[in-house]
Amino acid sequence: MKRKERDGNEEERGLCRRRGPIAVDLKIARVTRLPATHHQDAREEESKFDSLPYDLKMAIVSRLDAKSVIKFRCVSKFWSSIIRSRGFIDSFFSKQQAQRFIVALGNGLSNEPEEKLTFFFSFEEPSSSSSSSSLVPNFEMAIPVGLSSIRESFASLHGFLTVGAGEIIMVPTTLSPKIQPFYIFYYNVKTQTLRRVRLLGIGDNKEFRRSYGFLKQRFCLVRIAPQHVHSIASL
Amino acid sequence: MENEKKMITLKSSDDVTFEVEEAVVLESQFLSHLVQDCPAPEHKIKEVTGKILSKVVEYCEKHVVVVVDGGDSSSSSGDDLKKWDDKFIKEMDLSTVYDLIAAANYLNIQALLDLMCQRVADVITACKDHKEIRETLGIVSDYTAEEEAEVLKENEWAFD
Repeated sequence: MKRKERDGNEEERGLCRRRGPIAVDLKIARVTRLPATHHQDAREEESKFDSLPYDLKMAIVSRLDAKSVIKFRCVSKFWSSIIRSRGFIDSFFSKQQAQRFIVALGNGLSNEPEEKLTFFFSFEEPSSSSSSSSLVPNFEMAIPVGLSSIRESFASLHGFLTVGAGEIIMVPTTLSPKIQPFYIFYYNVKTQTLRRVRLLGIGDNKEFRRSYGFLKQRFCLVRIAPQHVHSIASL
Repeated sequence: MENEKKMITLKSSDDVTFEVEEAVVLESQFLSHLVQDCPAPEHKIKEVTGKILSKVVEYCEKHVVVVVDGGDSSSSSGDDLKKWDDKFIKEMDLSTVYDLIAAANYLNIQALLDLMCQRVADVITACKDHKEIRETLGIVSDYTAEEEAEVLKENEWAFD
């Protein structure tokens, strides 16, 4: 290669500019390592996020929290398609160490469309050693969508779902209009034991229910997702 | 006083050499295999520049010392190490971080790779919106104005 030092810089900048489309190709090519010549040729070149191999970019993005992931989806079509992909969602789960699950509550079918809200509460996963316990809800967010309209997303999670360690969660799919404790049930397939976990607030606290508009509604739909990110990603 | 320490020389792609103790090299899975399989006194690492290799060596030296000392000292060594890591990453521009990610991946130094990936993730998390993420990471959007408006509307609840 014949090039002078100054021309070299020009060319390197050119290389940078051309990297955009190359990075998109990575999606298909699954390049896992940069060519060894890269660093030698472009010693002074600024490294870019896009110049990282695909799997390393994924290692970074899968460390993001749910909100940042959603923002990232707005960055480019390429990232949007990656983040919506099954592979990403799966790898996202495996990295989420904190055992949490989410319960989505729709505030009534009878409300006007503009009044419909879906509230998301997250709960720490109870340890499987305890036979019975109660969990405190953490309010995560409310989105202006009625639950019925996003039923499809939750269809596979309707009522029964398996979680890690060979357990099945059984969840009532509606909230009783009566003020009474709300339980979910963990059935352990191996030991064939059932344990009951009470979700505080949602069923048994009048003030709590009033504040989210679950008091006078005849029907409040309940959906549960074992990994809260999943429900967000599939919305 | 000290046991006789075996020294190993690492040479970067641009022929910068670093003389390090063998224990430092063992922080890298790749290098520990290399040293075992090929007992030469000097190893050339073609994929890593001198600038980046110096950072790698700095990191590994720091971490190997703490691990050895940590045997009987208090847990403060762990805190000190974390402080040192924080300082180490804060002084670095993102370009260097990307190079270190690639190097840590190649040399198979998991702790360094984790640290650097988390650094980039933290930088992204600190961005207030998608535009700032684009700017920070140098990503060019391929959305048309209409498509962008639509995708933003879909996801607006993620933006505070």
